[in-house]
Amino acid sequence: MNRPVFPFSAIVGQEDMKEALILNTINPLIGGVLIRGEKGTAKSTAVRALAGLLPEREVVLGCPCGCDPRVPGAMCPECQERRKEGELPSTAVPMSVVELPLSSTEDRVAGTLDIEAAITTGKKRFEPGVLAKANGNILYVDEINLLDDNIVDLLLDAAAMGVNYIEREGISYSHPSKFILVGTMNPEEGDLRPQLLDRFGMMVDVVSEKDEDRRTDIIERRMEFEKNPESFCKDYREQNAQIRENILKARELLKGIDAGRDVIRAAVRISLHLGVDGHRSDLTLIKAAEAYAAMQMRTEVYPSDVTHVAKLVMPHRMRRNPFQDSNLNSEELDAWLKSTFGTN
Amino acid sequence: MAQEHLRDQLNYPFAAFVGNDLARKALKVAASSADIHSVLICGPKGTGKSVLARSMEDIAEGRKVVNLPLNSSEDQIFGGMSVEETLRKGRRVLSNNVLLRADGNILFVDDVNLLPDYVLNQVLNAAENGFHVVEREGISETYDCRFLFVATMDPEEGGISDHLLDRFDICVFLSTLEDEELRMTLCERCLSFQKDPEGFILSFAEETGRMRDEVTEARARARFTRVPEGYCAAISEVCNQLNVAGHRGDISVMNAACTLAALDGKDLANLDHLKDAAAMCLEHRRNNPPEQQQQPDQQPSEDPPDDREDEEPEEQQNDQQQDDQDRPPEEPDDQQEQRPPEEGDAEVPPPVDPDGMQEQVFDIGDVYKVVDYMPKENATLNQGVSGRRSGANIRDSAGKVIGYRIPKGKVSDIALCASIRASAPSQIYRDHSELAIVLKREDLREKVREKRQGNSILFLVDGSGSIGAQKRMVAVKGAILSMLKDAYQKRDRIGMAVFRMNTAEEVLPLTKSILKAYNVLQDIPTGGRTPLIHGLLKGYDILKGVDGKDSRPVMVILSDGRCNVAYTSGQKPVDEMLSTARSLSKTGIRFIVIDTEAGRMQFGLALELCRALDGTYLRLENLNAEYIECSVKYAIEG
Repeated sequence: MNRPVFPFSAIVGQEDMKEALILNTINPLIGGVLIRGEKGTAKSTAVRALAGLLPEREVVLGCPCGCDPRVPGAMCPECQERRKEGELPSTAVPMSVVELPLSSTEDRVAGTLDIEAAITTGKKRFEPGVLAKANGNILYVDEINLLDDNIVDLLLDAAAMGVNYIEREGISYSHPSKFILVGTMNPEEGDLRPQLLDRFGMMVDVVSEKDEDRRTDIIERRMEFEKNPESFCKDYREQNAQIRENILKARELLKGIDAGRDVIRAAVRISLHLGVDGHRSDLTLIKAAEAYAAMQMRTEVYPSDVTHVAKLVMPHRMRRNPFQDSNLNSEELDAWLKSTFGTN
Repeated sequence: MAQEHLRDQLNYPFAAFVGNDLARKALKVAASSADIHSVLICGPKGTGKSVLARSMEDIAEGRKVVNLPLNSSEDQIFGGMSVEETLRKGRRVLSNNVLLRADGNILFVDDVNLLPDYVLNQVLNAAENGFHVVEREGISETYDCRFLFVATMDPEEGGISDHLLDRFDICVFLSTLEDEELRMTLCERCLSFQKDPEGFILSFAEETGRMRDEVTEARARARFTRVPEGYCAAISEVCNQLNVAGHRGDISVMNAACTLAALDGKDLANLDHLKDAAAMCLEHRRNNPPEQQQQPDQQPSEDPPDDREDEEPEEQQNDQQQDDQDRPPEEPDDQQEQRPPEEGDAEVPPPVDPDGMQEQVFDIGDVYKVVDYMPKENATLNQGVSGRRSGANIRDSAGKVIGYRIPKGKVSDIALCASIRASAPSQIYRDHSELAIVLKREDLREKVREKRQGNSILFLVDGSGSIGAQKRMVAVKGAILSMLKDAYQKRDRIGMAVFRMNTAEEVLPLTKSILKAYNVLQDIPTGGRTPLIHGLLKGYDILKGVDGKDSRPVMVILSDGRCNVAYTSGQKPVDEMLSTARSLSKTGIRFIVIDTEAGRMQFGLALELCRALDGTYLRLENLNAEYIECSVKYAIEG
């Protein structure tokens, strides 16, 4: 499948969305991005383009679940078995964007009994599904608000534990399923279930570009791409490579970054002030701030990093009442951050 | 192929959990007692419910946590036939199932409110009894499964029914920490756990070990601890005061108090133990939670509705002022309305009155709970998975597979695994020259699927002058908002249409976005005549496009039924309305008529309309939480 993908670096504007995606690739523990916005605002384009920037990761050779050879505690049963026989062969593969189509059925998502093997050999064997493929990668759901409830339940379970447990069709199986969840939705088509909403580390609202010049830019680039995708991609290869290198550097830097008490205090204060449910927001703020500092090629995190990422981390959590538009509070948040932390 | 291999996955240590002391104590009690079989951990998202539940391995020596995933099939949970074994032996052999694996361990379900009720019921039974009886797929066996059942849920996604809730011995509530310092400690610990899990666990190893010993000792001691004489009476009294139904609560409190004493190294429980035990065991069983007690009871009232009609919070303050404003315009209006609408025929519009014809936009009235969703979720009617109102078994290839059956006629949606299982005992006698498994026609099974159906609810709102003039619109909007909130939790699709002046208009196409509905609701104008027939036909137009398989069409009509515009010229409006209604009653749409009629003279036209529609009739005054809950549910599911 070598269809050319519109290069990430060629996307005009939508800085928040791009930043959120990049921060998540720097630190997958942030927990994914939900991109909300009207149609035709490069939501899907950006996510698909992200694939071209992703770093490589180590996987066990031939493992359908893409197990990480360095974490023996979280491997699929096959890898566990193989490990007993000796060192597992591993290989480096680029992280990928795994799509979960809306029409997916439960058995394809969670994995199921391999019928062919059952009938021809009489043996039970597990056939991995999308959640296995997504392990270590980005799981992308377009129009996630339209996903069937039973599929959402599967996602929630896997996202919560990083493990996909299957107890069906006579199969009892589990395999690691740690993924960066990226979803897009058009809020006009309905809301997202609160539990699923909360699983997203970040949310960005995208709107169509209002500036005339930039709109022209968008059209021109798109037309150019459609006319001759190969040469268009070539033009942006260097810029893409630059971003990719920055991500790799940032990932290295992140290992040495430790949030100090002032950073933690800032995160806790923001969460307390906004009265969000639970403690996920505090942790996400800190992780996102660390990733942001790394992206800026720093090894120190400052409280100002927390306030910077707050606009990505907090909006979807502030919504306690379904009848309040979360966006309304965005300006209030800015004002409060400025008055309390004096920077930003 | 089992879950055991992931046991080495590192869990956040129990000892490192910050805050929510009562919840932690409750889990210690559950781990120490042989008589406490089930624990429910409630709380908003991100409060560490699952983390806490999974960390129980730390304190429960020798027991491990067995996961029960939400999408498990029933035979896999409770036991069915083991295909491989059966193939080999030619007779049915019980499969290794989740409950069997949970024997002597801890069974954990995340988001238990999303588990089908019948499954939860059986799991709770097994937890209480310590054994399970399998009667399926030709297997008839009883096996032991003594386990501690630990479940979590976030009430925001819909609750579980009262009687299932009562089955949980202990229920604890986790809350978001409000203390800055505590929260910072929590953050620091979580971050260092994520950076270096081994090191972090090691740094808490001593504390963990101490807690584990405590629990192990308490487990041995708990059998001998007692509750002092007079305490039994006290427990009963507390249960009575809290309006606890049944006696499970009393027994749980006793057991928990004894275990708490044992944890303290005492042989006799004291008052503190009793208090803690009551907090753990009774909170979820009390029948009027504290937040409800503070609210004035909104009882259905027999009084003439005049002074109740716009009962909003603000009213209390400017009662006098509002009264003054209300009275004068009401007088002429009442007189006008006293004339039966049959006389006000189609050709002659009602006398122009300033309040009626003028466009007005009213505030949204008092919002009440349509469904007290946390503990009151209806169970008997809801066979589907909680969180959705309607569940229906459908013959269609979409939806969640919940089982299988012997097909009638042609098999299209074949349940291959079930078919293989059905054929397994006889495989040994069949010819296997080409395939390892040979299926015959009699082995075939088809899937039973359940699609979680939502409802498509169309609110058909009377925007005519009579509604506006009496400020009924405030109450009407309050009612709609209350139902919207409910729809939000049930994830129904909703739409809205308004009829006024000479026509009906769709102001909100069917949507799942409640926010949009709310915005529309705020701007509904009133004024003019009552073209109810136009409204009914518009509503039908919108709902007829709804695919009955995916979603059930429901029309909620808020009107006084005083139709005074005919659709076909020359017809009498009310007669035409009733005949239209009778035709509509056969369309498969469910109707709920909410009568907004008020004033001294009442014609009961809405009731007549409702009869013609074969719908459910409610009066606006009676729209309090309890009443609407029963009625709407009855209408939708009945």
